[in-house]
Amino acid sequence: MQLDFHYYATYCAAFIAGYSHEESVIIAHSAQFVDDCSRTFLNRVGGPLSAATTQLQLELMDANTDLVGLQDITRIWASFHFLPGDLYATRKKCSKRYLRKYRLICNVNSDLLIDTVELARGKGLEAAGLAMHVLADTWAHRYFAGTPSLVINNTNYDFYEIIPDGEGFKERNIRFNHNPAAKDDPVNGSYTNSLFQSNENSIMNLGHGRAGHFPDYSFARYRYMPAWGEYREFVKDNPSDYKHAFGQMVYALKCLKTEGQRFQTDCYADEEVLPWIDTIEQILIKRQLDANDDWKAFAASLSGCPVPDYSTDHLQEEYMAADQEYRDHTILGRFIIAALAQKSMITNRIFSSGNLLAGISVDYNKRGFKGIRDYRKLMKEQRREDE
Amino acid sequence: MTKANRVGSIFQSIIMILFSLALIISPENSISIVIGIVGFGLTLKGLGVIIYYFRMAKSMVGGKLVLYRGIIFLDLGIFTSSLANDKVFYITLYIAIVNAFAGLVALLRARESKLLGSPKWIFSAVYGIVLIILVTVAIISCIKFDNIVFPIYIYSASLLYSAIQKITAAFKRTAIAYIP
Repeated sequence: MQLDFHYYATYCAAFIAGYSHEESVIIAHSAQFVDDCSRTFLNRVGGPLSAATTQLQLELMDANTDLVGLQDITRIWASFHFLPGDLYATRKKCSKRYLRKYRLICNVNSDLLIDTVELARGKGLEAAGLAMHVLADTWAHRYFAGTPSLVINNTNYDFYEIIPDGEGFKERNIRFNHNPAAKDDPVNGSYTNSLFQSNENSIMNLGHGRAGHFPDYSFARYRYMPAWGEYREFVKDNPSDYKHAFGQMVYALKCLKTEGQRFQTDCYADEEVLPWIDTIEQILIKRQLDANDDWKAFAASLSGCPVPDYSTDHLQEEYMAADQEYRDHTILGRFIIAALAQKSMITNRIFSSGNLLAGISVDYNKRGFKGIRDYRKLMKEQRREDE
Repeated sequence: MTKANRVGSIFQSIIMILFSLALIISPENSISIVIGIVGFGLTLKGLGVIIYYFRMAKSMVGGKLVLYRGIIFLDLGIFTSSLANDKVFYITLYIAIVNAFAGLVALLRARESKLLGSPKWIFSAVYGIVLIILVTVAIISCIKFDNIVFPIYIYSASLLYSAIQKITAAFKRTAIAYIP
């Protein structure tokens, strides 16, 4: 998903769920910030590098794809953008190596989603925003895995866009090109994707790179054969999926606001969203590369307050101006702790399922602290909560 | 590229330069070693791709293409390794044909670059044309004039060119590639 949904739509969802304008802005900022919190950014502000929730293109190009490098990439992408659907999925007649990657395929309404949302309970608006980003991305990125893998993430020429045509729909074969300078062209069905690389662990085979940015457009409806799909065709209806994502975000945020109401999968706040469903549908089906203006206008009409443009400047300033001991209490500081907690939890779940693709996870409560120093921050925070 | 990649690239380039110099100085003696290494490398690559097919790509849509690639590499490797010393003529002819194929690939790349609007298509096109002309001359000289040394010089020159390209790339700043 992109800024229009992660920022503006999340603001709208938060407001409908009962948060104030100011609270909704913080939640929305955190949700979008998951796409900007790279190591480069953290280096600049002096934050812990392990809290990175994304990797920039340059960082990915320089990333090693040896075992340690792959684990690092998988930890980030599987934790924040491609939440695995079923860590214990089975598949006949495949090697263990294949099964490990197969189990990282992202899907909606997973047990990990419950863990992600519940992890944010009582942890502040920043944690809630981070959880909303992860939730929303499960709908856009389903069927792709957050680990470089040709055999899971590859696509082929059999990729058709389903376009409204009068009362019905027509299909058009999508022409992918590799020219990064060219803009995607929904009118002519020309989109950019990553180069085909036969190397299994190539960065080009990470996530939905082989389908380009196309899965992130809310208007996209398409039929294709995922590499893992055994020649079955899958139809992805983004307007419908994004609508579900929105309803689920409202429901999740309401759960977080309500003590004792545990988040459950496959539940959507349909009644709460109903008064605005037509407006939302119109925004989602409109064929445009970004819907920022439409969502912004909708958000303003909801709350009666103009939603500030997305910016990370105030986050940086507040964090860098604070003393070391108070940094964890700034907006960025709380986001960092939420990011560390999420990454730690997902890595632990993946490791506990017998899968080493995200690296090794140590239960520091039982075995004492081992590993990455940045996570001491998480332990300190947990001790603070226990007291 | 990471620092390790750059160091590896430079190291490979030095090896390639040494080999090409050895070929130029003593073409008849060096060619057998080169063929042995090329054959071994292709065989290993073929085996690697076939193992990858059975472990991973068997379950992938279009995975059979991976198997075919592996078989082709393996066949090329076994064929190359089987070429004996007294068949130097056929070895040099084989190298010439491989280089002609490289020239053709360069021309196809140039065409693709031109279609995408990149100004660098000219370099690929010139490289491809020069390679094909040289190879054609080498094959003619091999067959008509019984001269086996000229193809070896062409191969050495292409090795030197690749080595220089690798060194240049090792010192280049990382270019931004599109990853959505």
